[in-house]
Amino acid sequence: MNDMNPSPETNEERLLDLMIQRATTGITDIEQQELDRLASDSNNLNEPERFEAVAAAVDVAATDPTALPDELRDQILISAGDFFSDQKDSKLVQPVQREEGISKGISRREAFAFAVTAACITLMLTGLNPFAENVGTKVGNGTTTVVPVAKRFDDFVKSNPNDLVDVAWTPVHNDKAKGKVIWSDSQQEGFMVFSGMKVNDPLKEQYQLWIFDTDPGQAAPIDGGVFDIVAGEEDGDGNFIVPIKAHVPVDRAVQFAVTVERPGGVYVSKRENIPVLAQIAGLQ
Amino acid sequence: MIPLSCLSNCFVLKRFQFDFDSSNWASQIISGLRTDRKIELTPEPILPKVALGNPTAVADCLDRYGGLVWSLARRSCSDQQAAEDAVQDIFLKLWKVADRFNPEIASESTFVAMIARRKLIDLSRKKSMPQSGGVELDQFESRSDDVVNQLEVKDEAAKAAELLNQLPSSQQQVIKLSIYDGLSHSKIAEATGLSLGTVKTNIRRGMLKLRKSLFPEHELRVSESILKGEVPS
Repeated sequence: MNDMNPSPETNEERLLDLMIQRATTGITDIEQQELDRLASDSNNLNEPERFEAVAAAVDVAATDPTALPDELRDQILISAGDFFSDQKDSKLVQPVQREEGISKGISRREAFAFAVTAACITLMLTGLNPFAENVGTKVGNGTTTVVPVAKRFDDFVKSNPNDLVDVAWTPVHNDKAKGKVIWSDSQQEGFMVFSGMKVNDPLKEQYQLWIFDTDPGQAAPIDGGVFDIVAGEEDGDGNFIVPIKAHVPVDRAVQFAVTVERPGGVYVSKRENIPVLAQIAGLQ
Repeated sequence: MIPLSCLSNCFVLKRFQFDFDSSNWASQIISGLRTDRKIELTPEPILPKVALGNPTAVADCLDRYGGLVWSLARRSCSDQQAAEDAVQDIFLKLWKVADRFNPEIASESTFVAMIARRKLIDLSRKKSMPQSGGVELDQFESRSDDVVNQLEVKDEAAKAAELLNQLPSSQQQVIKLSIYDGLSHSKIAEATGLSLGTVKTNIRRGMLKLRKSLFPEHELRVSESILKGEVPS
């Protein structure tokens, strides 16, 4: 032990300050590592969450809830359908007849609940994720038309955002894999194009995208979602096009990596199978 | 070929662990209020159903907590669009972790608020969103009334508010500035005219009291002088 090590009392004070700061205004990743070490060393592993709960309870008591805007509520319900349709083990509810339900004047809330249900049912019956692959566009008479992912891809490329990046995949564990990733930070949107990727059995494994951004305080990558390579869904050029759905805002993407994981994806990848990755030149 | 060494040490998503131990602090609080009607008003938890992907439960969850999350986000975010984005992120996170909710540990509202606060703090730091500055202290003074008014419908949150109101005003003030407005110690010092050391000491003492009262059965393993809120010079 050298002379620079702080005394135990100093460590206790530091631990307390870090826990309080984490619960109130947040701490950096480096500080979190320090907190983890101090909490572990002092056998206070659950204390950071207790202080966090204190702050949350005080905050709840002081907050007078105001109604969530309807449009935002609808958007959240749609994204919930997207999320739960990605979950292979989502619990099904009894299907209802859409036309009948809507014609009887059910509320918008119920209609969206239905949409979520329908998405789950579609997933279970067909194995397809209706939210991930296509986007429904409302047209004049209120009916819905489906925009194929290939058209969305073309439209996105043609829109040519100023910050559009277009990077070729580099094969890592799949020598035959080729293609590219295009992405726009400002649009928070992008697509992956693949050829030579193995068709996966979604019941056994899925591909998972990881997005690394430049935020210095966020060393961990962002979850880009899981996806499948499905036989017969390639475009006329034999490419598979997969939209990117970042689950948190991407600050400035610098690297994309695809791993093979268990169905539904993982929180922590063992990086045992990385078919491809793509690094944006000049950003790191 | 890009060497794997270019990658981060490990692919660990930005997700959190809700890792309380198995103790039941919420019931400890509630047990002291056993005759209070607040217990009867506590709704049946909705998150277990959400975790199963029940669409109706998802919609009900939005109805139950959408206003709370929206209000927290509006207060934290710089503009409406940022708040809307934040709320979407928070609920996406909530769907992901709904199965971790344990009603034996904390109320749903506290659980939801923890998730929301984590995300809002993270976004605030990530995007360097300006936090509330130039705070007028009289704005805070009125909030104590808000706290009291909501005691009827909040479970452990009400207990926390009650405990907060029992703290010395000097500690209440800095804790409110810190928790409600996310102000750093230096900003609080600036807003209150107190020295940085005083701000730090008052927050520490106040938070320690709240922590000890909300988790009385769990010992915070630090020295007695720290527990007493003594701050060495």
